[in-house]
Amino acid sequence: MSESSEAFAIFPVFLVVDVSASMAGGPIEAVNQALPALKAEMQSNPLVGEIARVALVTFSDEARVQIPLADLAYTTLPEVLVEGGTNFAAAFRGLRQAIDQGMASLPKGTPVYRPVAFFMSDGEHTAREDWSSALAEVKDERWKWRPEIVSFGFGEANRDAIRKVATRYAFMAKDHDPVVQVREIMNALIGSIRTTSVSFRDPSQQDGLRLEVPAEHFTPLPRLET
Amino acid sequence: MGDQEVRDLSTQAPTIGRVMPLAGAATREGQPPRRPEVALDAAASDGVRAAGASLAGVRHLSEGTCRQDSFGIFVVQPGRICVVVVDGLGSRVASHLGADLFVDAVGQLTWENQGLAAPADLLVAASERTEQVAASVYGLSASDIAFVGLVAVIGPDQGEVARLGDVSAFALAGDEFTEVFEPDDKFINVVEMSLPNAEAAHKIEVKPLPPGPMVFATDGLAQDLRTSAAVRAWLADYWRSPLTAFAMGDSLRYRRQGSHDDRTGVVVWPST
Repeated sequence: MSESSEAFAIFPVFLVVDVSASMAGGPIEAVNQALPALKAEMQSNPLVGEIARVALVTFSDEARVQIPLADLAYTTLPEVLVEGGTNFAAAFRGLRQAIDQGMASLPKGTPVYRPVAFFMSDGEHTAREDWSSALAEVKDERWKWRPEIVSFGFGEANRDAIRKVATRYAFMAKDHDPVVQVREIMNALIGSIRTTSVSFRDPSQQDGLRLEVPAEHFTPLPRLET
Repeated sequence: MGDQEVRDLSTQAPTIGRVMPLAGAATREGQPPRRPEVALDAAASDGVRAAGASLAGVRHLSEGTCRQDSFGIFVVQPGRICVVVVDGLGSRVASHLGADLFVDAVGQLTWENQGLAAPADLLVAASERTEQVAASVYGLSASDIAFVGLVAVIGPDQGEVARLGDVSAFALAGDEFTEVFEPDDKFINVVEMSLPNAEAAHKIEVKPLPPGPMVFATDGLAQDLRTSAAVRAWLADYWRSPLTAFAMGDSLRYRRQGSHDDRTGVVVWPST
C-alpha cells in the first residue's frame, strides 16, 4: 500500500431524461429549473457535494451526453431542449456510454458506490428498432458498472415499459399536470441522491440505494422480470 | 436563546481534499437511546500495549444520529490481548446496540474461558449470545441489530484474527500498512453478509497475524488507509509508538473529502 495518490469516494449518478416532442413547454422547463436546484444541493450539502457525481443523458431519436460524470458544483449547466421522437434503445446506448466513459474518467483505485441511473419518460418507444437488447446490455450482470436503474413514468408513459426499464424500483407520477409531475420526479431524484449519499451499507434493503419517493406523489409499480 | 460558543481542543490532524464546512451538530429527538459520540480506551499487559478509539462519523454528526461502531480491548492473560472491532449497519435502528452487545459478549467469553478460545470460536459464540440478549432483553431481531465484526487474539508468541464482513486488519511496519485479509473490490455501499447469522461459522475468514504492530479498523477508517497517502502518512507517524487513549482519539480527527462514516481503530504494539 504505497501509492502516493488520493482517491476520494464517489457516488456516480446518471440522469436519463426524455426530451421528445411531448416534453415541450412546461415539462422541459421544469427539467431546466430542477438542474440548478440539484447543483445548489451539491454546493450547500457537504455530505452530498463531497461524494455525488452526476451525469445527464437526454434522449429523443438519439441520445446526448449533456453533462459527462462531473461535480455539478463546478459544472456549467446546459439548457435542455426538446427534440423529436422517443427511442429507448438510443437512451440505453447513451447511458452505457456515459457510464463507461464516466467511470473510466475516475482516478485509478477510486472507491465507488454502485452507480444509479434515474430514468424518466412521458411516452413510449416509437422508433422501429427493438429496445430490449440495448436495455439488456445495460442490465448485463457481467458488466462491472451495471447500474441500479430507477424508472419514473408520467404523462402518457407506458406502465409496462417503465416497469421493464427498472432493475427493481419503478414509479408512476400521480398528479394530472405533467409540469407538476416532472417537478415531483426531479424532487425525488434530488432527495434520493441526498439520502443515498449520506447512507451506508444495508445488505437486505436496497443495496445501499435509499429512495425518497413520497407515496402521495407516486404509485410504485410492481417489479417486472425481463 | 442563541447558540453558545463551543470550544474544541486543538489538533494537528490534517484536512485532505475539498472538505466543505459542516453545520453544527444537533442531536435529533425521537431517536433510540444514544451513546457517546466518542469512545476511547487503552490497555497494557506484560509489555504489550493497545489503544483504541471510535469516533462518530460526519454523517451521524450532521444528522444528529449516533455512532454505530464499537470496539473492545481485553487483557485475557498476562501478555495476551483480545481485540474486538464492530461496525453496525447504517440503516438498522439498533445496530449500535448490537455492536455494543457483541463487544460485551466477547469480553465476557474471554473472561469465562481465560482467553484460551480461538478468535473464530469467540466470534461465533459472541454472535449467538448477542442475538439471544437482543431478543430476550430488548425484543429485537438479528436484522434489527445487524453488524459486521472482527475478533483478534494476540499473545506473546502468536496472533490470529477472525472476521465476518469488511472489518479490516493491517500490519504496520514503518510507513507501510499491509492488509491481512484480501480487500474486495465491491461497491462500497453494498454489504453481502452480517451478524448475527446462523451461517456465520461457515463464512468466517481466519488469518494468522504477522509479528509487529497491528491495526484493526472498521470500514470508515480502512477505506481511508487504502485510498489516502496523506492519511497513511499521518497515522503511520502518529502510531509509531504506543499511545494513550486521548492521543489515539486525536489521531482519528483528520478531515477528508468523502470520508463520512464512523471511524474506529485499535492499534496493538507488541512487547519489544
